[in-house]
Amino acid sequence: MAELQSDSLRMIETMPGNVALFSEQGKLAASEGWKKEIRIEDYLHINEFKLSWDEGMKRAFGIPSSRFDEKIFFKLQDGRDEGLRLRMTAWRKRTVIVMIEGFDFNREVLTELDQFKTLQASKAHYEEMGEMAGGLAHEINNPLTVVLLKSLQMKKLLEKESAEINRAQMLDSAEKIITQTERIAKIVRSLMNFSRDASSDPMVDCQVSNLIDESIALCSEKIRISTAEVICEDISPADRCYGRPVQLMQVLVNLVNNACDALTGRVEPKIYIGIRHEDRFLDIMIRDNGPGVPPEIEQKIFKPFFTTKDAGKGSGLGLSISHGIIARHGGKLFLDRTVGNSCFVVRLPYGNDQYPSD
Amino acid sequence: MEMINTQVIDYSDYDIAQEVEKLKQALQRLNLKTDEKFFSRVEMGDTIEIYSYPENRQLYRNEEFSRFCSYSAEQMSDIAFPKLFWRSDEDQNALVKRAAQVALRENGVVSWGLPNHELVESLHPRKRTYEIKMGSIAPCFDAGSDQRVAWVSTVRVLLVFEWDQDI
Repeated sequence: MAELQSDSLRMIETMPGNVALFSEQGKLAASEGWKKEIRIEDYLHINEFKLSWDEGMKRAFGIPSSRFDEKIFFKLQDGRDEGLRLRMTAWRKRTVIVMIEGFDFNREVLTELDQFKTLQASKAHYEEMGEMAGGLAHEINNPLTVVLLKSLQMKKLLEKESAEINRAQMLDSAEKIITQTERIAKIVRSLMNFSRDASSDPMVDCQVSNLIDESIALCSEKIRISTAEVICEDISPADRCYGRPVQLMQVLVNLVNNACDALTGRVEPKIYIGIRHEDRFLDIMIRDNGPGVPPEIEQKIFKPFFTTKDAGKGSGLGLSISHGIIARHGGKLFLDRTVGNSCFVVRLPYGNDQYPSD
Repeated sequence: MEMINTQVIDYSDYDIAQEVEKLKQALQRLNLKTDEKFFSRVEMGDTIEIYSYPENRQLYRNEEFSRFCSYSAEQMSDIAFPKLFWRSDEDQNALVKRAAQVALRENGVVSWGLPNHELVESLHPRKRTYEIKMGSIAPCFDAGSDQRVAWVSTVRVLLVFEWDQDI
């Protein structure tokens, strides 16, 4: 690395503009003109545009003397997004020259980033809906079967003129019909709400208990298959937040589905959903009694494309997109290590005055 | 739309002694043991099943259920029960809780103590539906380590309905 750095320094001194050199491992070998407040390690992880860093490196090193343009995004230490246009060129084996064009805050690129993030969130939303649709069809057709069966049984009984009416049995059948019809109605209602394109919805005052109920209804198949018991703790109809309901449901569905996955094969699996009031914020906590998030991956779970699920079972975008959605609500999605095994907290400001303007 | 069957089923070919013997052999093959009293609780027409715990995968079932069930033995052993079958949340929660309670805490055979309910073949295109009459349940222990690893149960199954077209 020392030799590389010395060579690199000599080289970049002769080059105009902003230049940085990276080793094959993605380590910054040398730089000239980079702003001090940029955290390169953040940039390396946050790039979620078209070409990942790894892919860029592979292409740069795989094709001698190749050059290609890329846009990258990273965070400054004050949390603001920065966008750059880059020209990457394989300089020599094991080193990539990154020439930076338009280093300063680039509104055009950032607008593109926003559009990309919205598109990604929307894509993930529809992918999630597609995954859910098959399961939810069963969750509708199965109880519908019981409704039909019970109706037929009642009809048959009532058609027999001489038959004695067993009132208890009739009442039991009627209650089953009511319960299952209400269940179907709830799923359909939630699905209709969830299936809308909500990316440009206005922020509105939301009843948190409704968001939670509808999200649970959408996860009903996964919850049933995981055999998890969902326990809602201390959630009052008075608990309210301000946001885009469908996007907030998208986050809650993602967290509940993840909890179900984590509980597969666990003894007495449970998912606890609760509310906590923290200063100017309302926390929605989703906790499970699964194995918990291993400390070694804690820093990666909100990064795009990171997943612990088997190949084909998760895009690795769910938590990252949820994180982005909550950030755009002026809140924060985080893992609270002080509570239970896995406790994800959706922290939302109470009032609209605390939200970033659209 | 017709109900399939609410008639009394002919159980004349059901041999309780033979069913109990098959159950004992299955337990031995699976390296499991259970309360001896369970064997005397088997009644005419009972479906007898062993499920692993906590995965709730079927390890054994007698022939009785295949009289109606559309799933193959492989499907029954490879796919988790809640994916194959649907019952109402209330019935499901009560049953899962009761099975866990018995598998983890009971020492001998007990009654399921749950009301009759409907069970739907979730993956069947016509949603074949059964009425389930709950019988007895007992924990199963690993014959070597004595660990609680499964549960065995009897239920009476009656095919009552399926749609007249795929849904």
